[in-house]
Amino acid sequence: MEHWPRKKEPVPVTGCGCLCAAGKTLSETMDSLYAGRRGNISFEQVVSTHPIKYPLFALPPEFAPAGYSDAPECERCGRLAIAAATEAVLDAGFAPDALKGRRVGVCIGTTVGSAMNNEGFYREFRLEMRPDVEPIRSFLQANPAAMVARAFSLSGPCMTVVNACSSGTVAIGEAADWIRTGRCDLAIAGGADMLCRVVYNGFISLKITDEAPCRPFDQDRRGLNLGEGAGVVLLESTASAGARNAVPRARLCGYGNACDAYHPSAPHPQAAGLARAFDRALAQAGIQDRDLAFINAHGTGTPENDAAEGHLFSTRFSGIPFSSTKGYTGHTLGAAGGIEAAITIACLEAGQIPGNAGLRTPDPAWEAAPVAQTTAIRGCHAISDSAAFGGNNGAILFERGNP
Amino acid sequence: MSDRVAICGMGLLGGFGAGRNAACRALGTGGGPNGAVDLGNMEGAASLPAYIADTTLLEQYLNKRLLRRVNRYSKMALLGACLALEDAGCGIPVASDRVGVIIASGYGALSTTFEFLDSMINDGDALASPLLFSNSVHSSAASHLSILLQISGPCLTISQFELSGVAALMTAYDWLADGAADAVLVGAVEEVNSVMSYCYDRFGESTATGTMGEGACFLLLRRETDAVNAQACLERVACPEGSQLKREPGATLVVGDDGQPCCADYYRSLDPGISFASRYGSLPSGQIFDVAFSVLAQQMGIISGRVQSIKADKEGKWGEILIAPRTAPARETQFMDESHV
Amino acid sequence: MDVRQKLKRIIVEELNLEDIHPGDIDNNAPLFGEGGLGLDSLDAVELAVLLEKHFGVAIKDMAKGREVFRSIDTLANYVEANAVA
Repeated sequence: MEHWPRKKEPVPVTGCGCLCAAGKTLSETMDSLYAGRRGNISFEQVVSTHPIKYPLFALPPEFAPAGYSDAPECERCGRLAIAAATEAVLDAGFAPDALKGRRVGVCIGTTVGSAMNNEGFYREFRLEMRPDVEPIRSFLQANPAAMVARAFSLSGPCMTVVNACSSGTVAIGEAADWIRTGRCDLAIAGGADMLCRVVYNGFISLKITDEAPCRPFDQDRRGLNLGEGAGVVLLESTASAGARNAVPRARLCGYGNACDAYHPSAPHPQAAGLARAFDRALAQAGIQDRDLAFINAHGTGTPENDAAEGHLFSTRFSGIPFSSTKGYTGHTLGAAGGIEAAITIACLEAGQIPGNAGLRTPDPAWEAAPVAQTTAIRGCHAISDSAAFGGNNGAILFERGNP
Repeated sequence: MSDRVAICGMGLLGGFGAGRNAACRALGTGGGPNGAVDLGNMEGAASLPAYIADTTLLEQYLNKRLLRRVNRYSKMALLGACLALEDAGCGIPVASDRVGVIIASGYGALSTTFEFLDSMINDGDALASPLLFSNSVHSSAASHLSILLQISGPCLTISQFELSGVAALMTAYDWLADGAADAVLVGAVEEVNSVMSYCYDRFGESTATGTMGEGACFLLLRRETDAVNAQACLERVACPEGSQLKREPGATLVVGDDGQPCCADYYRSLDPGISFASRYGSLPSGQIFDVAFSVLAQQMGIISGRVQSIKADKEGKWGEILIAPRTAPARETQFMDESHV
Repeated sequence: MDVRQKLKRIIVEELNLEDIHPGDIDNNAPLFGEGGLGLDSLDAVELAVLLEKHFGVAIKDMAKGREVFRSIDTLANYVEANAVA
């Protein structure tokens, strides 16, 4: 097919923002990661009658944006997205109100932010109590991408991606195409998610949560820990960035999205879909496997996910350093791709990647092992990948701003 | 972006029935709700009229065993997808990594979302059902589609309320234009249940609302240059800035006015347009239904020339799709139904 | 009802194996993978919830539960050994 694979024009990233249990901003988060310090772990953030209390990477109250705890629950994902977007917009050298009137799109990945699962409302509904429909009215106003667009008075394309755990990565990849095709000049892209007891109970029911702080790629790993937060990048056309002399922190050079077509909850054991997502991202960037300085792995800490990725990294990317940052942030679901995109860019700038938190004994089932400590990297390209429920995989490839 | 995108197959189901012939009949008769949904236990026998979809036809395409873990939301999506593939003359399963899937849904898998809450509430947090949880996520329909139809290209689920449909078609357009896929199955899926019925009833106390609808509408899209059997072409898919609609000269205006009061003023401010919502009901991702009904209306000679489809959301944003009829007449006989004669 | 019969009924009904009659399930046949009922990892976690719901028997570690989940017989033995009276 002549259309594919082909190299695509890189899209500048002129700003980044992230908040999560490991930091209120991207630079605070990186400080925690390089110091090997796990983010804030709470056993109480979510109320559940489950006999075991599982660790949660919760945003400490002082990290939360203003008004967060008083906001209706369904608005919180949107508010987290707005907080990360504000950091990214300021980072790019814009005043918060300076995007109004420009052609700016918004593409945000989430899981909780689009789920109409208000438990309080539903309990009353079941009990025939004629509940007030205000929570539903709020839900209809709380679409995360629409909330961001409202907050910055934006009128460009607006899309909330609900691809489960690959949402953030896919949202950034899709938004980059908007810039390339001229649908907008700038795009706020990333992911946002919050801890919620419905999702907490769901992941426990799947028996893929670890009672201890998670241990991605370790032979004794027992599952993931949920986390919350948001991560956003500001994508900008080369013309727009050039016109205002903005120096890109990075460029998005490639994006791949591919399905396993294998199983509703388990990844393909040989990471078939993920490998195709990598292929596409590399082809768009026009680089070889060996040109990668590192890989920010999905690395959730579940036996199956890490085995699939471990297989791919051993057979295909042997010798390329990789690590998972979930041991610092928890698995923030729809936000993970956004947070890890920001982290990947910061690592390219710093020339080093954090050690894989929670790693004691690398799983001997595969040859490759993640880096255990902060490690210097060589090269200016890196991939951040995500894998989701139902076998949806995403990979985004960044190049350092000043190669 | 001069490349046009061809609609090669359409598969739709809803209150009007399932498939092309049922949809054509509804175009002729004007349609109407075909069922009702109760308001939960609380109102006794009270219920609201609704457009209800029937998925029994799906067993003609996929064996029952394969469907044992597939809920209604995903069954509607699967049937829509199978009908679209069949309509396009494609085999099932697809078995290709050059085909992509994009699903648009305002509300997602509503029934299963609340069934999962039921399992938590009835049996306790520790006995919540993992099967229901995995089927409650919006992306579950796309996952089942990719697994059961063996589609391993790119995959996306979008939830943007009234703009879900245009966002999905816009993405498909771009995927085809830049070669991320050679064909894309794009579909809208919505489901109704008692909770929604209750909300409609309560919202309806203050303002008139539309009649809730459910169903799925899938389009199989290809680049026009690759399409041998194009039924129509998408010339433009966009979310224009500002509130001023630029009318396309000579094109028929189709508005996504499905009775939702939040957007009614916007539609009233436009030139009078055609609404197909009486055929499928009120559903946020309805613009994809509007595209399919527009193409059917072009094929039946109800509309001549191009269609400009508009769907607005409650914030005053809107999506615009420009649909050109096929140029070569090829399918006149195929949408006449024996029972219709 | 006999534990084995009850297990078969639960598996057929709750895992939606509509095409199978509970009486046709062999006590020794593998429940998972090819050559048996064809259940998979998602059925396994659902089955774990069902065991707890219907018999009050918990399977904490799915890796160790693999042997328990081998057949109706192994499941029944586990239930009988661990059920709280």
